[in-house]
Amino acid sequence: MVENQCVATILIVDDNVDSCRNLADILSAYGYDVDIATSGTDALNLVRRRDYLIALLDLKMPEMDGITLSEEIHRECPAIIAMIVTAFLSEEAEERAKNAHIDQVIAKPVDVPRLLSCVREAASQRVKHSSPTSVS
Amino acid sequence: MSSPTSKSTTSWLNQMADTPTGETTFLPDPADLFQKYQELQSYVGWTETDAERAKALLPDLRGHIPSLIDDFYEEITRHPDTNRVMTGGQIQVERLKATLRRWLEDLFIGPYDEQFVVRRWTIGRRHVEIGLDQVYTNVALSRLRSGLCRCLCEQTKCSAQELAAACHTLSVLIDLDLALIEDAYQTEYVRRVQSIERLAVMGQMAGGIAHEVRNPLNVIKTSAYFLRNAQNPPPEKVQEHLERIERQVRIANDVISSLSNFARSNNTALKPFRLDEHLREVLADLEHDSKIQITFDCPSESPIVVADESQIRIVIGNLLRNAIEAMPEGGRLNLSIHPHQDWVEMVVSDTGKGIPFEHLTRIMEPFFSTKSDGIGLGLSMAKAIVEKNEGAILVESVPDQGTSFKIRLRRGPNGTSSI
Repeated sequence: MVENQCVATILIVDDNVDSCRNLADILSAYGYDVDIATSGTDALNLVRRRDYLIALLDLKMPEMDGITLSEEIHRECPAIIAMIVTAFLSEEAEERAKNAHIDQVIAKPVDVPRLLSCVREAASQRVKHSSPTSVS
Repeated sequence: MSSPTSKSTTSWLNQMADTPTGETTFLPDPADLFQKYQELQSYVGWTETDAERAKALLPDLRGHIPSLIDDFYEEITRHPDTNRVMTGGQIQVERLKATLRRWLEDLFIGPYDEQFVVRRWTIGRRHVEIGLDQVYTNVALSRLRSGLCRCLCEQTKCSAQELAAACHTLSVLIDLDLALIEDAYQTEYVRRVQSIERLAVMGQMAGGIAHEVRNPLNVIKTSAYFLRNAQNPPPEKVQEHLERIERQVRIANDVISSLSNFARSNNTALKPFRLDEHLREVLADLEHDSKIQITFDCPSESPIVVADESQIRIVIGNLLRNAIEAMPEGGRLNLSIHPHQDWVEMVVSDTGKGIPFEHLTRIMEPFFSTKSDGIGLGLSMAKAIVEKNEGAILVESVPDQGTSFKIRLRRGPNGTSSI
C-alpha cells in the first residue's frame, strides 16, 4: 500500500465492528486519518468534536440507519461528504438516498479500489473548493 | 379407475394452461367444478322440471333477445368503469354481443353438464383478466334478468301461476350462473393477489439474505485485500484479520443453517417425549459466558409433551441464544417448566435489555432484526414451529428489566414416552 499525499480525516460508521476495523486498517495504510463508530449516536458525538472530510456510513444499523445519520451529520456539519456503504439497497432506500445528502452509494462486499477512488475524488473536490481564488 | 399418479397429472394439466399471451391461467378440475355446481343446484332446489321449463321458455324469448343484448351493451358502454374494458371498439362489442347470445341460449337449453360448468366458470376468470369488477357482472345480470322477466310478463298465453314458475326458474338459473362466475372471479382474483404477495415475500427474503451474507463477505474480502496489499504488517495484525475471516465465515454459515432449518421446519413429526431431559440436553450444548448465570426449574414429576423433538430443540436454541445476546454485560437466564392439565408451559426468561414496545409486535416477522449480525429468522421460525406443533408462543418484555418467552405445548399422558 502506498502512502497518501493528502491526509484527510474519514469517519467509518458500521454496527459490524469487523467491517469498521477492516476499512479503517486499509484506509489508514493509505495514509488517511480514520475514526470508527458503531452507532449513529457515537458517530454524531465524534462529528461534533472533529472536522471530517468523509463519512462512510453503513445503511442498515439499529437505532439510526445510514441515511438518517447522513441527514443528522449534514445538520451538524454540512461540509462532510457522506457515502453509504450497503449490503442491500431496497428501492425505498434508493429513493431516500437520492433525496438525502449522499455523495455515493457503495455496495458490499466493497470493491476497495473503487472505494479508494471515490475517497480520492472527494478529497480532491474538497481541496479545490477550499483553495483560495488565485489573483493574477 | 386411474392411478393416483395419472390423476394428479391430469389435475395438474387441468389446473394450468398457457394462454396465447404466455400468461398462465388456472382452471380447477372440471369434475370438482361440476360437483360444486350440482351441490349448488341441490341447495336452491333445482330439478329436471326446472330444466324442462327453462328449455320451453326459449322459443318465446328468442325474438326479444337481440333487443335485450343491445340494452345490455348500451348500459356497459355508457358507464365509464365498464366501458374501460372495451378496448377493441365496435368490433369487440359486436363479438361480445354474439358471445352473450350464445351464453343466453346455452342458459336455457343446457345441458347443464361438466362442459357447461367449465364454460360458465371461465367467464368469471376472464373478467379478472380484463379488470372488470364483479359488481358490474352482478348488476348487468340483474338488468338482464329484469328484461327477461318483463318479456315473460308480456306473454299473454300463460296463466299467472305458470308465469310465476317461469320467472322462478329463470331467476334460479341466472343465480346459479352468477354463483359460478363469482366463484371463478374470486378464485382467480385471490390467486393473482397471492402471486403478487409471493413475489413481495421473495423480494423481502432476497433483501434479508443479501444483507446477511454480503456483510460477512465484505469483511472477508476487505481482510483478504489488506493481507494481500499491506506492506510488512505486524504478525498480530495478520492474526487479527485471519480471526475476522474465520469469524465471518462462521456467521455466513449460521445464516445458511438458519435458512435450511427454516426450510426443514415444514415436516413435523409429533411424538411424546420428556421435556426436562430434552431441555437439559439443549442446556448442556449451550455456549455462554461465565457472566451469565443459568438456572433451570423443573417440577419433581416431569411432564411429557407431544411435539417434534428436533424442531423444539431449534426453538429452545434460538430463544436461549437470544437471551444470552440480550445480556452482553451478564445476567440471569432462567428456564422453567410449568405443567397444566392439557398443556405444558415452558418459560425462557432473561434479565437483559428487554425489547422496546414498538418492536414487540414485529419481532416474530421474518427478517425483522435489530441485531447487526441477525438474519431475523430465529423468532419467526420459532413461532412457525411452535404453531405447527399445535402450541403457542407468547412474549413479555420490560425494557431494561428483561424478556420472557412462554411456549405452550400439548401435554401427553405420563408414561407414554419411549425415553
